[in-house]
Amino acid sequence: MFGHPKDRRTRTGELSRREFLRRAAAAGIALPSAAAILAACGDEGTTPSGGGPSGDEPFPLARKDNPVTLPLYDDNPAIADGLEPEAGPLKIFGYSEYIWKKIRNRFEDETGAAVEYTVFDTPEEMIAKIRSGAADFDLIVTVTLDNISKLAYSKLVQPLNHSYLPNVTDNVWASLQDPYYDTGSRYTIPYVIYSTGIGWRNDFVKTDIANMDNPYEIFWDTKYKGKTHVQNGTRDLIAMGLLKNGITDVNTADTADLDTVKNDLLAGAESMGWKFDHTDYTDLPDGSAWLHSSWSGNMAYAQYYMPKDVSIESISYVWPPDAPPAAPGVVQNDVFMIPASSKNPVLAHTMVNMLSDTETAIENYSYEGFQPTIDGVTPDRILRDELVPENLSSILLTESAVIDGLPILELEPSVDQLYQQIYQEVSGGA
Amino acid sequence: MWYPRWFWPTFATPAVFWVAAFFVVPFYVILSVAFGGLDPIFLSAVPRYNPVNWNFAAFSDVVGELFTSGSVVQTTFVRTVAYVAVATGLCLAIGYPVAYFIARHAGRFKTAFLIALLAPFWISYMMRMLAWTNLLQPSGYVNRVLEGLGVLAEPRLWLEGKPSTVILGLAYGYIPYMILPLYAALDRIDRSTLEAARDLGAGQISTLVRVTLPQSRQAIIAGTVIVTLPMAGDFYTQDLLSAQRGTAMLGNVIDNSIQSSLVQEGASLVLILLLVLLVPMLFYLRSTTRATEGVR
Repeated sequence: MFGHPKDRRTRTGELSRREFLRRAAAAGIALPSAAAILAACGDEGTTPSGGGPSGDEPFPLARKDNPVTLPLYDDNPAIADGLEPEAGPLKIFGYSEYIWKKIRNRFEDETGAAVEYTVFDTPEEMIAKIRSGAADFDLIVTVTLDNISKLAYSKLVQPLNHSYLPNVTDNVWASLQDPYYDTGSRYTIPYVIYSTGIGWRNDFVKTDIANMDNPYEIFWDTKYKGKTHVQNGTRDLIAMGLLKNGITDVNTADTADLDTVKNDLLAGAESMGWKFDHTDYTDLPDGSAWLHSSWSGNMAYAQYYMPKDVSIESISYVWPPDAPPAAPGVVQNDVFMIPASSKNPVLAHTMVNMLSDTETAIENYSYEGFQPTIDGVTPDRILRDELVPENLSSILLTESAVIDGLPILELEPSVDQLYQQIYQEVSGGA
Repeated sequence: MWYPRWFWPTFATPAVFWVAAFFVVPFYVILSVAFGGLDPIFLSAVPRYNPVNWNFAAFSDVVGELFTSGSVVQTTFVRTVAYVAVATGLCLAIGYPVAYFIARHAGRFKTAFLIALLAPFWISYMMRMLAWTNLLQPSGYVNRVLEGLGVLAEPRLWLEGKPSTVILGLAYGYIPYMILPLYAALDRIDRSTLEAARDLGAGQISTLVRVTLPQSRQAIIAGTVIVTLPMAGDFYTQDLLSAQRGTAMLGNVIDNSIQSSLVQEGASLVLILLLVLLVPMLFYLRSTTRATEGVR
């Protein structure tokens, strides 16, 4: 059950390295999972979150109409102004290949500090390792929006000093300079943005999906039974069900709505034989899926997986808000955070600043595939540089997506469990 | 030569340490997770190591689900038992003749056959399954060959939620574990007992049924237990070869649960699975003990 688009296969194999490692570990350990053991090795008690005194207190849930200002603590200050960069090495903890090696090498050349890149597979694994304190990472690449408050309130991350981040001020989209999930950008800097839309093989699927009043209904169209794949992530799947039913609060706690969606998803899973995965960028090219609930970032990779006799033009993608009926759609952005235990915080700030440079960002995007939230990295520029095929220009987002899109955000614990139970029931554990 | 009383028992020290470190401690951790709490912020497991503080609510819920008709837990449990039973049967049906052939008829090629048999062990289980995901694609070699032979009129969608694919995958993945103990037992059977049976008028089938099979009974039970235990907790075979609701196994539910805020439910399922798997294990131990007593 994955919730992040970067959990993807590599260009040369069936599985990404991190997924391979995860599964290999699981295969070796058999019944008790590594994650469970790791999670279970904490202190005994009922509320041991992080090291902060507020660990057992609820925190406000960030919403667009309820911006949150994350707390600052005297014993967890930001670094002072004007410090010299440390000698390093800069220890990055990130999704596989989320920063191109070429960019990392350039950073080493410019700062003289080595870069060590440690990969994590899932947000759960990242949090478990950060909480364990076993490693002193300097930069997390990246954190999803639903984990920001948890880390900040538990003092597992440190506030940022924006005097080291001039490129962020100059280049990051204005709408994300003071985001609702972290007003004042105290702890976070946005890195990439991606939409959750519909990918399909237009040589097999003849329905005009982009112009449907409710494009999400396509996932229930039995014409495509056995050829429809949906994402194997709790939040994405339930968001799809909510939007299909015209419910635009993809973070809803309304049990009646969730019950409706559960029944609808169960009906879809039964009647369509949905396959649950997040390998849209290979499934569509090889034809094993004709329809796939997809991330825009993943679709950028489809071009590298096309069989010789199939054109990339046979792949289509739509993010419903961009199509004429303008149905609502999910959009997410990931952020950088600096662990409180960082021994090289100046270097970490320097790396974030470097990645917020327009030319560096576009160069990194050419390899990395998920769109940076940088002013100069526009759809026009990306298409002009031929980084994305023309027919997939719909995967590219503009700043308006931040306003129009529906973000997946943190839930109250009981609601989170309800979501998980629904996913379990719908997927049957698959 | 005289040895102090403690001398021979000390040889068990490594085994005791092994069991303590790699079974008792992890098992207790799982108990502490299943009967523990949930972190209110990170929604991860908070184990309770002191039994006085154990909370059985999650475990009780899971047990309740197990007996609720149509629930995910019951459905996947029943499916898992069925898949494992059929796959184990396949392993035995295929493995016994193979082991018999190597033990009795391979002659000077016995070593070569054994190496061929062990070769799959050199590659990880997951890599072997991964290879099958490519071979079983609509345009993969399996379909191409079957179409070429006229067996299939059009490509079969092997990877689209077919129970047969998952069962065959399980059988393929675990069959060496069945063959090896069978081979070891069959190879040890004294040929003179077979010759005696023939001398007394038994035909080939009668000799197999009345002499060979009884003498390999322990190996059959051992092989069955060895393949059944890991199969029952398997999730990646289904994950790779199907990933659909209709073929999900209990291991998939556990895998999903422990990666989410349902971690206590996942740990509870591990305990339930463990209890269920104790049955064949105890049967095996009882059978072995009886066989040993019979020899004495």
